[in-house]
Amino acid sequence: MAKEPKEAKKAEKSGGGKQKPAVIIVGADKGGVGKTTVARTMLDYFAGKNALTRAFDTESPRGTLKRFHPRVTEVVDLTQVADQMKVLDTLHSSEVKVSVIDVRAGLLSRTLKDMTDVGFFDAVENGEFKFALFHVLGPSVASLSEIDEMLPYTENAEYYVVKNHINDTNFFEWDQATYDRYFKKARRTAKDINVPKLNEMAYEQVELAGVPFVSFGQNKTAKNQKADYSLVLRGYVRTWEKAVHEQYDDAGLMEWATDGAQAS
Amino acid sequence: MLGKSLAILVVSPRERSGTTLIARLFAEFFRLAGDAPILFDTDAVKPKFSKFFPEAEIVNLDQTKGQMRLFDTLPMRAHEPKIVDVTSRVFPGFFTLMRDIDFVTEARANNVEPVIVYVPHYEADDFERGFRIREHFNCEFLLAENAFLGVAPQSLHSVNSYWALKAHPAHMMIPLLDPMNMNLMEDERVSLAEFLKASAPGSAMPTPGEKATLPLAYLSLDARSKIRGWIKPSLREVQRTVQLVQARLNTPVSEPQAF
Repeated sequence: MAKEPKEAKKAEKSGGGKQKPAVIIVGADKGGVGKTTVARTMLDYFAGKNALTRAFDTESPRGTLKRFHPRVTEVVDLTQVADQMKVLDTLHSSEVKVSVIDVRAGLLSRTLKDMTDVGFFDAVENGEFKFALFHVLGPSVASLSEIDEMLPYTENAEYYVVKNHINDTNFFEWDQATYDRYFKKARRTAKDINVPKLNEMAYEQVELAGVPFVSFGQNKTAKNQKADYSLVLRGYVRTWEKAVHEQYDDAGLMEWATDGAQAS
Repeated sequence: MLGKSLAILVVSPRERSGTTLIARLFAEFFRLAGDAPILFDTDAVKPKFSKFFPEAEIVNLDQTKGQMRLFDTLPMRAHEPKIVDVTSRVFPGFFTLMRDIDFVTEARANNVEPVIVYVPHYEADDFERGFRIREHFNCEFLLAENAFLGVAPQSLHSVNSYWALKAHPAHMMIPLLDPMNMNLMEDERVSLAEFLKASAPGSAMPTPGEKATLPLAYLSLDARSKIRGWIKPSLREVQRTVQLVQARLNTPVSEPQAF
């Protein structure tokens, strides 16, 4: 009990007491663009900065994200009211202020609509929560049309367009001019995140190991014991994830999510 | 050999620098010291080192599997030294990969010390690159000057990195051998150590049957003496520098049988 005022002061000083809950949605309506990969890099990113994060995997019941980050991830079905409550009603009460939601393919528009219906975006507008959308785009021009649908939800949000090259060696079909046209009418721009390609064999081995990218890079098993992964593949993974995290840094993700409260 | 083992990476940014010859000298030296060095030839297009040592493994560093074969094997806890002939074709990618996988740290964690044997041509660029490699990798670095490549032109004397590398404490010089006899050394059937042994004064003259394994046996005494006079100081240079590196690492030094 005697410690409480001291702890409270410390929390206030670090900004912890004032940290606004942040919700980050990683999604796309198109499948196979690497949403879960992006969510995995994000969980590693926040963990590396000592920022507590919880994650929700909407790929119910399989839970790919949960397979890699079981300690912080819960599988939910966001089409169900009970699970919507589990995620949104706990935003204020949870000690963990950063929530990452990996939305399964095809459910992004529906999820955003449901969140509108329950008043989430009103709460964002009122400054109760912060919201960021990581919109993962595929290489086809068709995927750009998703932007139109997303823009209404990004008015009070951080909007990141993620070009994910990890699963596809092909160049993006669309050029900057085509891409810019989609934002012109919205009179706003998104922040760009480019996820570079990761060596196929390295990606495959991480999949087999079933561990976070960062653990693979550190040669650790899921139980945090020393593993026997290839030095070369570990190096590829470390270098790749560092490049992704640098982009998150450049985009100011950490400062945004934690109100600058937690330093790396 | 107990203690730390060495992973010797013989590199040059340019073709025809003598990396294969220098890698051969290291391999022969360790054999004379009773070791069984693990050898790698990184030229998957025109393998050369492996022609002298059939046990050398050819690795294709353009492919992930080849990269894994080399860099996953080098830091293994084997006590045997490892020697890699790095072809100039893979030179930039080799160091990028080494940096990206943090090879030096991993090797050291397994009691293996990487030794970069750098063979420059007398060009400012080569010394600049060598300097940057030495500064970046913070592991044992050995400057190998090859007398076959001529002498440093006056223009190099104004290049800082030239003097920085010239002053490097671990430094070896491969002496000159006349071109005709050097061509004979290119014969892949020739083992330098075997040649020394067979051509030692007082050794028995080869019989016709021995020709197949010792193709230089038909040489005149004068030529044999010249070649001997090149192999011995070359191996001594290798011995001196290997022992210098081992002393710096506080690890038992390799003692070869007399040559």
